[in-house]
Amino acid sequence: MKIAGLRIIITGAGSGFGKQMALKLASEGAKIAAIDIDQSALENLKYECPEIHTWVCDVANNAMVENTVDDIFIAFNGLEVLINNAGIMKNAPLVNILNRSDRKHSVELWNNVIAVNQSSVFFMSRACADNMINKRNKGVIINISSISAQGNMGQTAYAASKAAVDAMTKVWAKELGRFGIRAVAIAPGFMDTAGTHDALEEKMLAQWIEKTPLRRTGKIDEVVKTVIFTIENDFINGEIININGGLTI
Amino acid sequence: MEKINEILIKIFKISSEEAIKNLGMSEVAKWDSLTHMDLIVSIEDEFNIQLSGDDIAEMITFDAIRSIVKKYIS
Repeated sequence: MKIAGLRIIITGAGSGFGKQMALKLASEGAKIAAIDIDQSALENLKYECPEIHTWVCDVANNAMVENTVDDIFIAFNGLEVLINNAGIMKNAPLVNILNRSDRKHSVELWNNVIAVNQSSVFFMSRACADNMINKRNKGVIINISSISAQGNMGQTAYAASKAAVDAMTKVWAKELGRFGIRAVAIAPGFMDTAGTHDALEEKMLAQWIEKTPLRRTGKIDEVVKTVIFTIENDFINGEIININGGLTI
Repeated sequence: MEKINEILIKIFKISSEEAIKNLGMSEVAKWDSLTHMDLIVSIEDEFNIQLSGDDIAEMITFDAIRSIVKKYIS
């Protein structure tokens, strides 16, 4: 598919990867529905690029997702691309032996991460796929996964949620392929983003960089380029595309 | 309707004798929600039609499939 003219939903589009995807794809002529829970972030995005359409939505809330997706389909009269980008990264060991009061991994943190990173992908994809099938729209669901799906220490909930995203991607590639709808996951490694610096101590990040053959973190632009490549190549389906400088080879 | 029979044989891996009967979902071993999606896509591609959601849900016997498709192509 050529980018120009495509109708694209991006979740978590108010900042980080999602914002850069929205700006780049809009600049190439795509019609963008930017979703985020943060209204002020969307207002800033709209200020930077008035052509982008915005919807405030908590993608972990299925009722809100259903209403928002229905609104977008009415406004856009169809869809070719869904990018499930929204997510949170929270770290905790399964058992924290330094914590005297409660050593076990927080259940609240687990539920929160699973809701935002995993259930939201399920909610958004079921709503969009149903509408796409009804309208016979062909296209692609792109799920932003993570290197953590392979099991990063200290990330029980985050790793589990991203492994689930990888698994859902493969299921949907098989189920939806007959309708001309592809499903692909993009799994960034350690990227030079505020989220990475917030989640990891600099010393630990330096250790990961040392283990990376390219000896550096990735750039947001390198993820955005992979999104464009994934949209444009109509024969990529069911793949987990790793962008990590060779860290996992 | 010969083309529909060919589709039924291909999707459900049944014999030509079975394809001309009025079998239902419960009588065809390979007819489930996933092969039903293959059935719909094959019929739409073959006859260049777009079935409605209600018609897709009602196509649960071979005779229902034939009469619904006939409605679109006649």
